[in-house]
Amino acid sequence: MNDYIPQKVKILEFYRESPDNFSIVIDFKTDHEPGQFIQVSLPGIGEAPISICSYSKDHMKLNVREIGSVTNSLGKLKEGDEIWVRGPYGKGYPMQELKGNNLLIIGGGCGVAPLKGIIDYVDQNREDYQNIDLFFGYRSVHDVLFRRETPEWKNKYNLMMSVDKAEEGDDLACFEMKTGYLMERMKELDINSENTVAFLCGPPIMINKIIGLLKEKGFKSEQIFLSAERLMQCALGMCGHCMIHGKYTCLDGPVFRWDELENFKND
Amino acid sequence: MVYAISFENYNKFLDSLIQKTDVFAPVKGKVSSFEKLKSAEEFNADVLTEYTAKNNFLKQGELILTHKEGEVVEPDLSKIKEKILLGLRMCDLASIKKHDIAMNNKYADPYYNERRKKVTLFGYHQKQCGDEYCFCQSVDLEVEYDLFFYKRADHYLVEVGSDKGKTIIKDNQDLFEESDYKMTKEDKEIDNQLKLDSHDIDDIYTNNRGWSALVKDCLACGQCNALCPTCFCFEFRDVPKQDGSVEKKRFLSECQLECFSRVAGDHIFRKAQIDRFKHRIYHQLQYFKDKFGKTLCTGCGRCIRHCPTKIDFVTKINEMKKEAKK
Repeated sequence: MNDYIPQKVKILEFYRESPDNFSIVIDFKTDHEPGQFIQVSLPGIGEAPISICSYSKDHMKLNVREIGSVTNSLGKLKEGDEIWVRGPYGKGYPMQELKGNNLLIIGGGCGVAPLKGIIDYVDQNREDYQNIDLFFGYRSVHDVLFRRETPEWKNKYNLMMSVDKAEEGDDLACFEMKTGYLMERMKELDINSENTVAFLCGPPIMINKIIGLLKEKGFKSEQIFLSAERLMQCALGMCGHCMIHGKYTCLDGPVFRWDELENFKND
Repeated sequence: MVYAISFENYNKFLDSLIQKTDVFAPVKGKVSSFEKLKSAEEFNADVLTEYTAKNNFLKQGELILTHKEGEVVEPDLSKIKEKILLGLRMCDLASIKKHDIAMNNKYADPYYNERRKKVTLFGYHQKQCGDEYCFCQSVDLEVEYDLFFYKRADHYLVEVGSDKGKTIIKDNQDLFEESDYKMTKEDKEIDNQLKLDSHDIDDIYTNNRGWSALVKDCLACGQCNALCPTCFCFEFRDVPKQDGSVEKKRFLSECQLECFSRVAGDHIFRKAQIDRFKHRIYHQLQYFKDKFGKTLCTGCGRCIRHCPTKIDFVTKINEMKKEAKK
């Protein structure tokens, strides 16, 4: 058994979310947990870990920000093209263990992608969880992701979206978006930590600030889960690139409970 | 059962092996690495090589797969040749055992395992093994070998460590003699001048003053990674060929370089050298042990001996441990 060998899958759907972000649906049928990731490769370009942003046995959806060599090349593909994948890998969000809780789902930018996997999961298992709050922050109106899904989320859950900066003419009204950093907007909210778990994904600086805020609101580290970003080479627990204080992000993560990481931010 | 072989027969033995198989060993004149032997004369047993034998298992540029005409082609691993590694010191042998564990964690690495399976290991005992930088007696040295050689005044004593080793002795029985000598603890001793008092270093993790003092001379050159017998972290590179195919190859990577923890968008998690330095030391002494029960470090001292600024982390860790106890 050679776990380095990828399989070829077809892109079933390709559409743009924002000027530097797109979603693809691929013909990859596999069991997985929300929060897991796959290794996507393009011959001659390389391989990169991409989080799964759907929860379905029939196909898989990936949301990708064009920021590195692999993702920029993926962005030039279209429906019907083929990519190489292997996985899924890692430990996802422990949804089973967290049954009965309120869920606070907090994402920044393309960090919303792995969190969408949770939302899809909750859609299919709504009775297992209490209140669902979705707090998403983006740089600007043009960077807002998942516009297709957002109206439904707005109907079903308590959704609050904010953009860091707004310019004249920006349409903030459609999703009742607020202006300013997500953290600042969250400060104003009455967030109850009792019987609640928080799921976070986003840029490190935002994550650190929001964790500080959650702590102020009474959250314990054990109530906070976050998805860590590292550039895995093997995704099989060997290459060492994704190690955080001795833990392999590809095996022991990418989803960690905050108490596993809080003292080791730079490891 | 211990065997004995005279120096004369030993040379005959090596020459006959060289005729049949590729034999790699520290070579006279070229002191830096394990080279393919042309004759028994070339073998230089007195050298603790600069480069270790790890390239024989974790080959630089290992072909992982080829993308050809829209399909993936796996390399034929059965073509990997059998070889013998000769003159392995305890630290080098121990490092192979550590790699066996690391490369078979949750998933197995087929490339490593195939190369490993096809290598015959001959250990070589040297009481005065290295120099003032060796500290192998302070870390976990667990070894596997096929034959192990101990030098005596006019012969070698040979211990057998595997069925493969037994077969080799049997195939050359006219050269080896059975000996009734009982190996003692003293026979296996290795002298160290340097001693690491403890490799439980969790309690000095937050000693920023101590670590900063140690790292201030570090050039972040990655020499320690390259020469370490156990550093096994790796990366892949896609290499396009003229015929339009693409080869995915594996190379070892260095955690002392910034790019090691870089992610897309140029965010570098271990931007400060102190974080990178600590990562190496903690992986070697703490993380691997927490996971697998043994230190990764084999105490060969190469990372101090060949460091351009001779950063002696062993002595400094001892100091920090003493400070922590106060």
